[in-house]
Parts: sequence; structure tokens; C-alpha cells
Amino acid sequence: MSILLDGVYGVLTALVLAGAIPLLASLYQFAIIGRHSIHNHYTKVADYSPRCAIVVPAWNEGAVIGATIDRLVSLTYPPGSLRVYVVDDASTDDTPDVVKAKMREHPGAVAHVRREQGGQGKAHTLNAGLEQILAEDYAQAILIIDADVIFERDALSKMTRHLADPEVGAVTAYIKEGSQPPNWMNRFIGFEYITAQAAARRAQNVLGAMACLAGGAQLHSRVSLEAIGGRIDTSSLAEDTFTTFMTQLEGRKAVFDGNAVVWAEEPAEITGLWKQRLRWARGNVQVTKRYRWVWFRHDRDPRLGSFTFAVFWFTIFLMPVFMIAASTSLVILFFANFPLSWTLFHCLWIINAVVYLFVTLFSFTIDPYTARRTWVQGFMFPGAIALLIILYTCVPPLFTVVLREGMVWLGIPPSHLFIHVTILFAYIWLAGSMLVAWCAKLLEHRGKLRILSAPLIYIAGYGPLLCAITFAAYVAEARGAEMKWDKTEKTGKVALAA
Amino acid sequence: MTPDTPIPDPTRTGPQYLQDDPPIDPAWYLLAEETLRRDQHFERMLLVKELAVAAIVIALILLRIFLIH
Repeated sequence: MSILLDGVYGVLTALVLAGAIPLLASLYQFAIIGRHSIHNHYTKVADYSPRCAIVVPAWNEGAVIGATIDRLVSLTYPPGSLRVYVVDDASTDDTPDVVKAKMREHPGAVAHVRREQGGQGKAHTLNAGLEQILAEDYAQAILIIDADVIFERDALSKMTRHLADPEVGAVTAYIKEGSQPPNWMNRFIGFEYITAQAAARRAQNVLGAMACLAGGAQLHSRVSLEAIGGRIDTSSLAEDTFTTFMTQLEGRKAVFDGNAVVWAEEPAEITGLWKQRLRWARGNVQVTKRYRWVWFRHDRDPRLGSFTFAVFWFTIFLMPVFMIAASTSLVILFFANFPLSWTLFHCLWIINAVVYLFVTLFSFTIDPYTARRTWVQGFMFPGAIALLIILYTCVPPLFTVVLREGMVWLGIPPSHLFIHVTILFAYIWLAGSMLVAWCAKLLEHRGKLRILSAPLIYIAGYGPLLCAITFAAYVAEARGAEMKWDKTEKTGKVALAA
Repeated sequence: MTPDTPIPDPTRTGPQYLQDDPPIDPAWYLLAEETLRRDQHFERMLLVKELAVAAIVIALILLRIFLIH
């Protein structure tokens, strides 16, 4: 009986400590960014300006497409080496008229590809453009973008220089959240993009394996695109990730240039973010299943099949599972073996504190401009309650004094029951924060209650919100929910930084 | 850029360069080199920043261990 009990405690201990795996993976990912100062692709770039076809998928973009074309043709790039292909996905507004006017204004630099039957999703739209581009001899490189993104003037030339290395098949840029003025959600996303793009993709450069080319800025060499069939995958919700994997599995490199900057407008509400990220997360589930023969298989592909890349991928993909497992195990141990649970709880949250400090402060230094816009959201990323737990585990005496004084002030008598309930709450919080974040989304369109949704995200955390969306993606994929390509709503409020 | 000025272009390189491409102003390459130098400097500074942040975090951990009981 004692051996059995020890075994159970051992399993529960392992499950709690497994909750630290995503944290340690994140720490390692940020730690190897320093190596990017040496292991980057800049040593292999050269002045290279291939004739570039820019594919712009557009559906009812009449209000913004004219300005987008003007900006693209005025990029710092050799004249005559750039042509914009607007793929009009059966727009019902004045998009065709605006594009035709721009064709007259910029002769030879703009082309209009009209689809009479639209609404099948971005991948189908892109394929219509790619079909025409690859049928012509003009393009040596193809840049796929979104209709509303703003390229900094030198962004394209910073991307094409990498294609001078014939081993490179695709290049992506740093997408920054550029809404003006940004609201609280835009700021959270702005900070997230430092960690998920500027930081994580540099780490992926070091590993030599890229997880995903940004959908709004992906440059392909013609030879690479043709090698993967000249088409974008239409069978999933993660066409960008599929293209990235196919490029690398064909034996070419995918490179991130963090100094090539592209500004994009991202969702301003939880509902919009939920729709967008649910699509991405479901796509990641599909990628994980489709490429199951690659994971942890160095012999299949030395880069995508590497142990480190797989750990980075799965710690994000399985983050909700780690959180729920750690939380549940702590709760069971609370009743079965409190001293053990208390020790494990401290271990987990001290690791959390160290990783949080390092990742947050380092992220701020990677992109100081965005850091100035988003520092509050950067610090609040794990949520207010998680920060209180971090504070408690790091400086218990300070926290205890404040808590005791606070209880006296509120007239709550300090009792064992209260302390136990508080501890149990802290144990549950790892998983519970996802539930609160989901509630914030539900409240967003409930009349007057909507004013609670933003404060709830600050309390629960933006990180747990992303975990809740990943969990929802598992459920949607398990249910075989319909694959809908919901277009992210844009209002055209993105602008270049001053 | 001076698109109408036919400048000989001996410097242009790249795997898919075609002879009939329009000529490019040599100033373009000076700009590209300067940009590359700046970007490489930024990447080198990332290592310095990382070490500085790591030092701060380690200092805080040591502070916690030795000063707060």
C-alpha cells in the first residue's frame, strides 16, 4: 500500500513539475537569442534585387487598396523590378475600379487578377495570383502579403538580400502591431509579437528551423515556390505554416529578418482575437497531425525533426494540458500530502518568477519602441493574480504582512479556513485563469457587463487567454468543427511609427 | 534612384541576375551596405542586452537569497 501511495505521489509530483517544462523551454529559447549575434544569416547576404511579384489578396478592400498599391510601388527597390498583383476575390465594392485606376497610374507595375467566384479563403485567392505569376517569366521572387499591412520602405530590400544565398527558399519579416491609437488589446498583441516573433523567430534562426512564415510578409524564391508545387495548401487553416514546413522539407532554409519591419492592424477586441487565434491554433493541430512523421525524428529532417525544435513546438501546443495537469495534481496533493504540495507549488512558481523576469525584461530590450507602447501589458502578461503569487513565492514576508493588514482593513478575521481556501485557490489558478479569460470573452457582448471583459483579462492574464484559445482549438478539432476562414476585421487604423 | 540614367552595372550580383534587367544606381549598393552594417550591429547588441538582463535577474535572485529571510 505504501509503495502504491509513493508511486501515486511520484506521478503527481512529475505532473506538477512538468508544468515547468514550458517555462524552461521558453527560458532556453530566449537564452539562445544571444547566439543570433553570431549565428545569423547576415554573413551570407548580398546586394540582390530580384524581379519581385507582390501578391495582394483583396476582398472588398476598395477603401484601402489604392493606398496599399501606392505604398508598395514606392518601396525602396530598383525601378522596374517590382510588380503588384492584386488578386480580387470577387469583390462587390469598387476594388476593381480602384485597381484599374492604379494600373493606369503605374503602367507595368500593377496587375489585376479577378476571381469571379470568391469567399473560399485566403489560400484559394493566393493560388489564383500565383497561377498567373508562375505562368509568366517576370517574377524571380514572390512576396505574399495582406492587403492592409504597411511595409517600411526598406523592408522588401532587407528581405530579398537573403535570397542571394541559393540555399534560402523563403524569408519572413517582423510584423509589428501598428494600430493608431492602440487600445489595451492592441498593446497586449504588440508585446506578444516581440516575444513570438522578434524573439522566438531569432531563436528559430539559430536552430535553423522556422515554425511559421508570417502570413502578412512572406517572400519566396520562384524556384522554391515551384519546388513545393507552386501552390498554397488549401486543406487546412494554417496555410502559412504548411508552406513553411514544405519549403524546409524540400531542403531549403526559411529565414527571419527581424530588421525588416512590417506594420499590421491586429484585433482590438477579445472576440476578434479569439476568432483569429482559434483559426491559427486549429491550424497548428492540423500541422501537428500532418507532420507526425517529422517530430523528434532527426533522421527524417535534421532541422524540423530536431529535439529542440520539437520541444519548442510542443510546449506551446500542449501548454493548456501542462497547466491543467499541474493544477489538478496540486489540488489532489493538497488533500493527500499538503507539505509535498506546498514545496512543489513553491518550486513551480519560483521558476515561473525567474522566467517571467528574464523574458519580460529581455523582450523590452529587443524592441524598445514597442516596449514603450506596451510595457504595462508586458508586465501584466501573466495576469494580476499570477503576479501576486509570484510576489508571494519570491518575498513571502512582505506578502504576508500586506495580506494580514489587508484582511484586518477589510474586517476579515484571519483563520485557518481562510488560509486554506486561499492556498487552494492559488493551486487551482494555473488552470482557473484560462476559465476566467474565457469568461472575459463571453462577457464582451453582454450589454453593460462588457466593461468587465478588459479588467478580467488584466486579472487572468493575456497568456492564459491564448491558452484558453488553444484548448478551444483542441475541442473544435476533436468535434470536427467546420473549417471557416473568418476574415479578421480591419478598420485601416494602422500607421507607420513616427 | 535615377531610373532614366543608363549606368553600367558591374557590381550587380545574384544567382538569377538577367542581363536585360534595368540598370541600378550604384548609390543603391552603398545604402544597402550601410543598412547591413546597422542590422549586424543591432544583432551584436542583442547579446550585450541579453547578458545585461541576465545579470539583473541573477542579482535579484542573489538579493532574495541573502538579504530577505
